Amino acid sequence: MYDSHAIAAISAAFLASLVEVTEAYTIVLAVALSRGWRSALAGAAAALALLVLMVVAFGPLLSRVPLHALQLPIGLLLLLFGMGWLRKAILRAAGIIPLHDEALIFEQELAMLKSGGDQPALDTGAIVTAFQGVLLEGLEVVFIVIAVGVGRHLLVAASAGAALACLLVLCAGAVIHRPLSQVPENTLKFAVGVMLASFGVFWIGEALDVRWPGADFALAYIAGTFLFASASAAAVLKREA
Amino acid sequence: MGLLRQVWAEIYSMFAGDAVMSAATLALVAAAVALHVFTPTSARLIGFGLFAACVILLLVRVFIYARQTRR
Repeated sequence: MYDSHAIAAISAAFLASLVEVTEAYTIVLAVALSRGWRSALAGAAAALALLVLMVVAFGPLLSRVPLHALQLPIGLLLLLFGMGWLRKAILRAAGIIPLHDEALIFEQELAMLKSGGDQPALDTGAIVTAFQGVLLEGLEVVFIVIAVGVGRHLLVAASAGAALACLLVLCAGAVIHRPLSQVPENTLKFAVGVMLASFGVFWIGEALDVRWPGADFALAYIAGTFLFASASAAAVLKREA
Repeated sequence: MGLLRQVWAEIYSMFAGDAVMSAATLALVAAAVALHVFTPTSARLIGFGLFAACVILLLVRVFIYARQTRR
């Protein structure tokens, strides 16, 4: 069975994938409705294949590196990435920067793509747009899956978590055929930011031979502190507005 | 080339969306490593010090950005 560390890693991959796939889906949907499904699906499938290839190539390669040698660099990258997401999530929650509006992005993409004129059955511009959208959004998921997966042989489990989120979004999208603007993206980003920053601190600590009180349970109180500090900051800033 | 540039920009923004915060985080981690390697400071103290410093850094960067934006 999975321990608490593994559950946190898989959850981070799942939630991050949910956010990013929702954003990618908006772009693919706009391409599909303006330039045709074939081009949109071709571009999205090619990008997905490339992302899977990245995980398959880099994951096992990094898994061969001893855990202790990986903890500092991966912990540092997780910390940088997590704090970046957390910073943005706090500012969005406080209303200082606008929330990610899938409906608005969809309309903008649609208007831009429609201005491209008549489309052939397989439209290169549309394929490239869908490819770019999925690739750029998916890069973050690939990083998270590899980073949380390599250390404790959780690559398959983290990939499965990300794939499950992908499947969920695609199923929801196939049913409603509209941007998934009801997905609470900022709340999810908040959660993922807390998790990744906590993993980062925890891993850097382990690389520096820190024996965290409570062993793996340390992740919980580190995450709790990040969450409390971030939520408090967002509340204070919102009140000041 | 356009796609590669976009991929690079995405990777850059993943880790250095706020360049000052990223540089400060790097400096904090470097200081923690230096303390661990060159001084007999307790590892646990370094770990909790780094953790606290990261939380404070995050809050400082958020409040500075908020003040600058509202000015």
